[in-house]
Amino acid sequence: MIRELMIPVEKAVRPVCASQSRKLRMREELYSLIEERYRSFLAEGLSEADAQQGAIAAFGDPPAIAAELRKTVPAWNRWSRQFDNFLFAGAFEPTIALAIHTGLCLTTIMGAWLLGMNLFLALIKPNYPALAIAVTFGTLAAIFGVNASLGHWLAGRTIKKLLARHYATVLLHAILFGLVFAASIALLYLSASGEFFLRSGWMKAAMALPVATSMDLFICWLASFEVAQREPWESLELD
Amino acid sequence: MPQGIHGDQVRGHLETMVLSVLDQQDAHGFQIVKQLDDMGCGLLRLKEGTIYPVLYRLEQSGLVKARWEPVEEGRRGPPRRVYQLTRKGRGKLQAGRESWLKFVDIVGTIVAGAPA
Repeated sequence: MIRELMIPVEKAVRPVCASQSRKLRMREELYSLIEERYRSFLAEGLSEADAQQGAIAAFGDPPAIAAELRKTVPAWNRWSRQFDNFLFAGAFEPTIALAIHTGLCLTTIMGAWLLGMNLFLALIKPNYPALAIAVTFGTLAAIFGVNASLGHWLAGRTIKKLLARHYATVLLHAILFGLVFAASIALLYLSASGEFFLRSGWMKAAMALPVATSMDLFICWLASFEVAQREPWESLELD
Repeated sequence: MPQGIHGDQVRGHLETMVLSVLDQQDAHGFQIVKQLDDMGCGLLRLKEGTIYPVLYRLEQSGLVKARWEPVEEGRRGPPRRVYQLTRKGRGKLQAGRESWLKFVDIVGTIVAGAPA
């Protein structure tokens, strides 16, 4: 791809609030258009520099195109992007503070849902042990938040290493995530009933390690395809 | 030399023009732009990047559908999506043509200053 031609396309697409896949499609199609115009100018005998300038001029004003593109994004797609931005702060490789922000947001959402459900059950069921269950649910939400923070922090780094083909580091990251997940399961058993010290608690925590490790690897592998396509665009510096 | 027709003058009719191009053949964005340019004898000064917002609107309304173009051997450049008119799009185009002819007839009569 030609960097000079990517810039007007990115200027038109970057300000649009839409899902990553939708924006990727916009980039691909607009880039295809501008590059074809560039090639047609080259075929007419223009120099590379003149062909680039001509193609950029024919493309139009990027802010005006961005405004038109914005109108084509359905509301649900825009909201899901805004929610995604709120949770993950739009960061592909988050800092620790951003990862904690993600964890706190998810803990709050999950905690509110679980405690709301608990309150509902306490209202409709007589002799419902609301307090004890609220403590368990609170612990569950907090553990989920810690996992989400670490998962978010590690995922960006794992994907980067995957793209750089540093497979040993990728595996190490995934195992680290698996270990934290397994420890969380163990902690849940311990906090819920003390069953952790029984054989079944150990077994379930041990089983969680390979499951969480493989899932983390699979998710990062899938995400790496999208990141590889987005990266050349998002790394462009626009003035 | 005749003056060119700029974006603002075309706005509002671009969707019908794109449908009309697609009525003749399935096409990707650049082919549509070129076709519009050829049919307008070079007088249609369309900003090319505005074609995709129009295509996305038409696609959302179900008037056109898009598919990836099969990769041709020896073709340079990125993959392209080819747009195709749907049955609903054909109906819309017919309505657009009728509406346009009516508009031209009325405005033409007034602008030409012909007696009513």
